[in-house]
Amino acid sequence: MLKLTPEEAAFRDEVRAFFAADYPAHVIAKNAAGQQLDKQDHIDAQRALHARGWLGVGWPRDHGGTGWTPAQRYIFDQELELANAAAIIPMAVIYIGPIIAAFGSDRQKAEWLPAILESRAFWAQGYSEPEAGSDLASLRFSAVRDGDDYILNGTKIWTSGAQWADWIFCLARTSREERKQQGISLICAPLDLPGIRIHPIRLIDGSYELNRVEFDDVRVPVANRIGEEGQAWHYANVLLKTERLSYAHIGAKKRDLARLLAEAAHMPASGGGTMDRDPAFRLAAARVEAKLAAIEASVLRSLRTEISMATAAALKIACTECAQAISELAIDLAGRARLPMLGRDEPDWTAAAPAVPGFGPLAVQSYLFERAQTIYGGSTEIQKTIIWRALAAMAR
Amino acid sequence: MLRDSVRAFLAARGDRSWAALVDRLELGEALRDARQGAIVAEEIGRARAALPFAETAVTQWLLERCGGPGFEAAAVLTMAWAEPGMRYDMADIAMTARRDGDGWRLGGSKSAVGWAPACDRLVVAARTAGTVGERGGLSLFLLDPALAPNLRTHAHRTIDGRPAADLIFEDQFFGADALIGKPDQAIDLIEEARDRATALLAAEAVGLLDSLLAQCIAYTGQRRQFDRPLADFQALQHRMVDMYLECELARSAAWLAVEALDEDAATRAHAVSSAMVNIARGCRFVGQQAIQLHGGMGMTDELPLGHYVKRAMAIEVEWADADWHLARIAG
Ligand SMILES: Cc1cc2nc3c(=O)[nH]c(=O)nc-3n(C[C@H](O)[C@H](O)[C@H](O)COP(=O)(O)OP(=O)(O)OC[C@H]3O[C@@H](n4cnc5c(N)ncnc54)[C@H](O)[C@@H]3O)c2cc1C
Repeated sequence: MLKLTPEEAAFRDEVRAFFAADYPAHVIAKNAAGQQLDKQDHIDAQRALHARGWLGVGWPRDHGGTGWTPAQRYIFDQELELANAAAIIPMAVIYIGPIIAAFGSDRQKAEWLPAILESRAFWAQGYSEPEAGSDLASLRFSAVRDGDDYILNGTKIWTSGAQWADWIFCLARTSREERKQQGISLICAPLDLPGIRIHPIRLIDGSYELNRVEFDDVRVPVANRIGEEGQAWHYANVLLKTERLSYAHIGAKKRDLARLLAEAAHMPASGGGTMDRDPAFRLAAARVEAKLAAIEASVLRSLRTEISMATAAALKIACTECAQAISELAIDLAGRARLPMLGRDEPDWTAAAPAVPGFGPLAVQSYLFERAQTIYGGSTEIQKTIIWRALAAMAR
Repeated sequence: MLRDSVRAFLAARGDRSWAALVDRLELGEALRDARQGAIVAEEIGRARAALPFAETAVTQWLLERCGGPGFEAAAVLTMAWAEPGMRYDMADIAMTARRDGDGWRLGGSKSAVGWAPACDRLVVAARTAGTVGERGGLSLFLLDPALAPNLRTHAHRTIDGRPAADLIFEDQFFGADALIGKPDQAIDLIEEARDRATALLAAEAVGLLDSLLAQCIAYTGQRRQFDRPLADFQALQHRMVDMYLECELARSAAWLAVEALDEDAATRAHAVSSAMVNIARGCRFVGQQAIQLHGGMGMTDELPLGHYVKRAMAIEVEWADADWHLARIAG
């Protein structure tokens, strides 16, 4: 059950060959050198995938998607990560694309989906609000009907990539109902409309990838609503089901762990020798490796069978905590250089600290940023609540 | 008394520089006395003030022990030991200082020396004899970096936002008086300096961790989700209790380190390492949980929280990491 079939193995080889030959080498080189990718890099990367018909992962085939099985999707994700290719920005391709394909109007499908695949439109996800985080259903962002338009008011926060995005899809309250999950609609807006202001938020790792987006009487046509009024909660949950493995990132974990071990071979250990021979470090790395092996088996297991909400939640916790454990190993390794923080926009960014291994600043940034993995996408605490509900149901 | 005045100084507006702190509160004594120093360090941690306290205190101590020249307490002093080719063992120092006539020529690299871009004087550990890995052959030099044209200074900032620099000595000449203390025999002093600095950092961590816990208690008490304060959820209550347990151990650990500083070398080493293993675990756990409990807010640079976490991370690794201390305990 954990082995690839011959067809899957052939597909893996095909994907691997693609990243080696037909994918922009400058993107891979930048990633490998720890340099920050800019929007154009992502466009180049997406275009290469699209040229091969591989950008619409998780989309149905008749909308330009790949139509892959879960196993193929997983193999592709893993090869992309192992190749050091750019992570696909999920907002458009992974989050809203499949929802548009499933619930959008014909016009939305005809206009929005090709724009995503052709990298003409980047999207942002407007779910969270200052007062609605874990308790997302309590959101207050409002859409009030005015003829053929909605008037949008409210604040979205933690909006990843809004600085690059052309569109935003928002959860908006269109009516007050008995249950707070009801009366929420999915409404899209171009981000350059009058009344929208984007405020960048600086994160602890020094990045500016998140934003606060304010809407002040922003007018959009009712035709920008996806699906039925008041049904957004249902759509979001459908998406959740199809995307439960999007946090797995097994390939990235393998890549990062391998990279760490390679770095260790160049790092001096106390009392001579290098850190790859340091017993404490080796055991610590082996511990993470063992965990990762079990997690990979969990993911493979879940590809072959229907998994429960509880299993999916357990997997999210395991995968995100494992990513954090790898980033901890990295700062443990790099710690001797006192954890410098350096800007990484320029190709020669390591020159600012010539006596410090370039690995250090990368380790710092990833440790800090990866703290977010257990916060977004349903925090670890919220996942545990989901799991407990399932366990409690067993007693009944 | 001392605690209150440091706390009041750090809470006030206006000049919070090192010189102002030292002059206003007459901290000369606290720089020499580890118990008083620990109180100052704890308050510096609580306020997360970026001040070169441990660096200066330990360098002053070294100068005194070496019979070097005295500096006013307000001077910013720091010590350069770490190098790209070593981890935490001082015997692995490779930088060379060779005699040239009356004086010395220094060659080699020091990495991420805290406060180097802002210091008045620098004490540098270099090899005057022996080979890398040997305990013998290390000596200390007192330098004015401003008067060293063949010293390349690459200034950057460490995770805690403090100034640091990579220092590359290209056969820089220094006069005979640069050497302080006995030549070739500095390693015991360097190791004791590390333990003294570590004890002060442990005390600073106590203030940092206390404050992080207090910030979490305040935030979860005020932040509402699911129609009630986050602090109503028992899962989070128990998490904060776990943080408190680490804070308590950290406080005891800091005492353990400070009170062992005047013991014999073996006792001191054991106590300081035991302390630091606990401090490092506390820094890691409390820092991670503090971010987690704040959700998205914990990820922003706008709250003080993240800056506390990053200072705690710096303390974990500044003079040696938990693995090195564990190895020293294990012997
Ligand atoms: C890097 C990053 C990127 C993001 N990108 C986006 C984006 O593009 N679009 C978007 O809409 N949102 C985005 N988010 C927001 C993310 O979804 C929220 O941060 C998340 O839902 C948590 O909400 P919160 O930050 O308000 O934390 P809170 O809900 O205030 O939670 C704070 C803490 O309390 C805990 N907690 C809450 N309720 C309970 C409970 N009942 N029991 C026990 N513990 C509880 C949480 O687990 C957490 O530890 C992003 C967040 C981050 C950090």
